[in-house]
Amino acid sequence: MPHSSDQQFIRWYDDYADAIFRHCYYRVFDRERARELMQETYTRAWEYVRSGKNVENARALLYRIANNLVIDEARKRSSNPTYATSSLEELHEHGFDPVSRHDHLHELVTTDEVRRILEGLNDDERSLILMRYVDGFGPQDIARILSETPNVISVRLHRCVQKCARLKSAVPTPPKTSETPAL
Amino acid sequence: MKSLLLQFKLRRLRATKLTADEFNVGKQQLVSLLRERPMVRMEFDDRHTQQRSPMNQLFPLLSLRPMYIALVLALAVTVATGGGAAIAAEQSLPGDVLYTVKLNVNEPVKAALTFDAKARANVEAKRAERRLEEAEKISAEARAELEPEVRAEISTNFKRFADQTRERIAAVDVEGDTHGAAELSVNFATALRAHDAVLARLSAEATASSTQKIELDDLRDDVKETTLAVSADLKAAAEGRQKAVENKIAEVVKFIVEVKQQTNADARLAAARAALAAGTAKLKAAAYAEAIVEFNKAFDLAQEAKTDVKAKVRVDTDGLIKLKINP
Repeated sequence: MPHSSDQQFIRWYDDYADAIFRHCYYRVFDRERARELMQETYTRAWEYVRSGKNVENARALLYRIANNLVIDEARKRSSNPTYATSSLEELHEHGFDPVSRHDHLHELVTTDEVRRILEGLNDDERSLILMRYVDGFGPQDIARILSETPNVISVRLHRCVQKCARLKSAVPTPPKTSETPAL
Repeated sequence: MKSLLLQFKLRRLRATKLTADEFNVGKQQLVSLLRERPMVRMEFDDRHTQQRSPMNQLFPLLSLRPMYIALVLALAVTVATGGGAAIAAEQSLPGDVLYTVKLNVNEPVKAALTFDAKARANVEAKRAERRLEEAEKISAEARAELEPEVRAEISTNFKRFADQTRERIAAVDVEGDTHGAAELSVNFATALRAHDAVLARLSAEATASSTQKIELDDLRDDVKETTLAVSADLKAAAEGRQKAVENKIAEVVKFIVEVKQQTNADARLAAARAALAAGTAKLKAAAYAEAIVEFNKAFDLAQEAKTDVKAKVRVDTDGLIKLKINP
């Protein structure tokens, strides 16, 4: 029995909601806002599909929409200081940290070091690093999502990795606590 | 190694997910949306193309590719204003109402209409230079002053387009046009130095303790930093080419010795060595673009020397000696 469009679309949610949320989260560093952006991504994707447009690659479409939403978000934040996200320190003061669905202590894998490095990148750089090393896209796919040439993406990725390495050297190693899993 | 460790740690971020409640709430909201706004056309299949009308073929592009969005916006602005707004926007400065049209419509449209990699690099370089021209115009106007917020906006945009220029130049180099990439770098660096001179003059004319002077000096720092980065890129490219030529000459020398042929190859190899030496001298003198020209000449001569030997060996097939040619 062929899938209805509704069922097909819900499957997109099952398959990619976590990935889209995660991508948004590590761009805006605000869990609630990341959820809203993820939801908005699917709302817009549905409107796109509903209007009869053909979708050859659902994952690429969702990432493209999410990327555009995050870029708009970054522009709003840069023009409105009251809209800025909390710093890493403020988040930790409020006991905030991303938690896996399974809620096991050993799966709290987000370290201060990696998050500080990500925060040290600008939004475009963060987007590239996340798409490549967290979301698992190759340079060709990233080029398609961002409407760029693969060569330019490869050059940018190389520079981003170099910048991450420089940021890593500058990041102080956080003290180990009994609750922080070692990496 | 450090990079691999960082990549490994980044991959572990994949464990970040929605909680079960968050996931289910989101799914429920989506189900409600699908019920409130049901599908209006026939079912779709995201793996097979079906009944694609010409408009459906165009619209995905128009909807998803930013450069086409810019084209549509430019067309809309032109139709709505008879082209006046787009033209007027060209003269606008940061803070003007039409500046957004200039920055986010006019300029992206020009970029979208270039398809050659070198031309795209030139367009991005021009966009970076225009930001500096805007700062110069504002500073030169007697009734205006370069305010910190405006300078910050100009700096941010200048750095963005300068970075994009460097990326595009690197992409030209990656495509094999090393000389073209070197030319682009030299031209960009020359333009930046010219703008730095203008900004220096404006800064000298400003009152010593004025905001204007401070902002101009800050902008000059950005320009100098970018000029140094472009020069460093060019130097790295020249050094990379030098290494490639040294390797090539070593490879050909070894090849000639193995084949033991006396041909024009020796003369060409000598010329290649001379060109390498000339290029090395240019590199030391920081004439990077000229160094790259010499290195390219040396590389070609070394390759010709190798081809000479291979041709000679092919000719010598009289049955007395048959030599195996390594590619």
